[in-house]
Amino acid sequence: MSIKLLDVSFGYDSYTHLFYHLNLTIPMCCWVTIIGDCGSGKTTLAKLIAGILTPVSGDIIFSWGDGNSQKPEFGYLFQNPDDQFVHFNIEREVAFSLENVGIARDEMFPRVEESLKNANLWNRRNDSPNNLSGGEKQRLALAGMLITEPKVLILDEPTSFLDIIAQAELYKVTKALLDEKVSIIWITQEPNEINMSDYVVKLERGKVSHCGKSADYVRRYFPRRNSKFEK
Amino acid sequence: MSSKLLLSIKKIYHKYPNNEDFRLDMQEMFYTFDQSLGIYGLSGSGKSTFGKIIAGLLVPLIGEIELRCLEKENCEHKKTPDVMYSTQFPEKIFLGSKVKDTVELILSKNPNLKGMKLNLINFLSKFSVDYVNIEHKSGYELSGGELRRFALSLSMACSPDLLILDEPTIGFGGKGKQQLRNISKEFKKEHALIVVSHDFRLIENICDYLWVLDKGKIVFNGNFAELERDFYQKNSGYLSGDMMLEKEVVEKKSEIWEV
Repeated sequence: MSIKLLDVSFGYDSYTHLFYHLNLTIPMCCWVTIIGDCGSGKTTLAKLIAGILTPVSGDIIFSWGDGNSQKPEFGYLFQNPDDQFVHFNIEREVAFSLENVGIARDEMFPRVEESLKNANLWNRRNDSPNNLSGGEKQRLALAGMLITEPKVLILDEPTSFLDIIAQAELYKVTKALLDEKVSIIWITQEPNEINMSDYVVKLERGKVSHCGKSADYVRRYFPRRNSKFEK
Repeated sequence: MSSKLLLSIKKIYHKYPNNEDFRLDMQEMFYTFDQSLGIYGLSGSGKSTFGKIIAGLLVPLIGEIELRCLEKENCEHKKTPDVMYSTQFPEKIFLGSKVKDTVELILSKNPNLKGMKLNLINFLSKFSVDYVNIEHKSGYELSGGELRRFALSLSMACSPDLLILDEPTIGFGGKGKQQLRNISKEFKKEHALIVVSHDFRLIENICDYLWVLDKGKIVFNGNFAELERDFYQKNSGYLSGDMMLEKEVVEKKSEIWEV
């Protein structure tokens, strides 16, 4: 089970390439971290995988074993939660995700209620997303995404707006999703977060500079942290 | 510091319609900017609201805030000090479609900001971003980190008397945080600075004085040595349940991650 990028090239204009003949295999059904400095192409890579951007040349192939190569359902959490909202009402914002995948109305409302209660936003359900604080916006965006139960989750710097309690909560939620066989692609600049993942892809200016198991990455770049992986 | 500022808060109260859970409720307070101020709190504690009130972007329902220069000779030429508020969503800084348009529009509206462009280039280079590379790009073409670096550099380059940075490190990695730390060390020598953030480590690194906000109230007001001393006195009245919980999380986190 993996996503394969074969000879993928991409640039935002026709003069420069961010990715040039990139070949990369990303395993699925585990927690993959994409790490790199600002401008290294993390978000672009994720958008290519999710199909938000189309490569100039090359192919992106999904393989689920036993010959299944269907594109999975993606959930994408944008870096800026404002990019995610389409409604002026929090309850409808979450319900819209369900409407979009064709869920019946009777089934919709209990699910919306549960999801907003989990995100601790149920009391604010009649308010507009614009009136939420940064951290609350992030929680709403996450709730709207998780409610459709996607197979592959792409989280673009999900903890940046979250305070420390909400961060710990998100790590817990992500681990629980992993147990339900959801694949996680987690973009970050925070080396600490690698410790929780299974696999690391490190980008440097559009090139993959490291691709392998997290334990190997930590052993190589942070040798003193080794012991944490020896369970 | 070029001109010493005094911030006086006169019992402010603010709440938003449709949000019963939130209220900002503050007693009378004063702060003299001989040190940079950090405002720390969890999500929804009222940090940004408070920052906006100080910047004059939001008028509280009750009470008011006054900001004035203590040394008259330094700000005789203007009635009130210039305050700049750098929002947590950096794309809001764009006035034109491209980086260059935004910079030129600001320059044409504010003829007194002569050295602004040079300062901007200088600040960007400290963030290891080349102005020439980004000037023809629009906000959508910059990466999240570049956008944030541009927004921060621009607000610093305008050289306001008081700069309020709201969550300045969202989208920054360790390198970006380090760069911001070095730049603000330089910046705060000449200007008054407030950093609003949920990242305690960041405030500790940049600021000299701390206000902790919890549920719309200031629960701590002092320097870091005082915080250290009082944080461990579990029975001190001003740490609410959430703050204690946070301390536990911090400890747990360091158990997992620290070397």
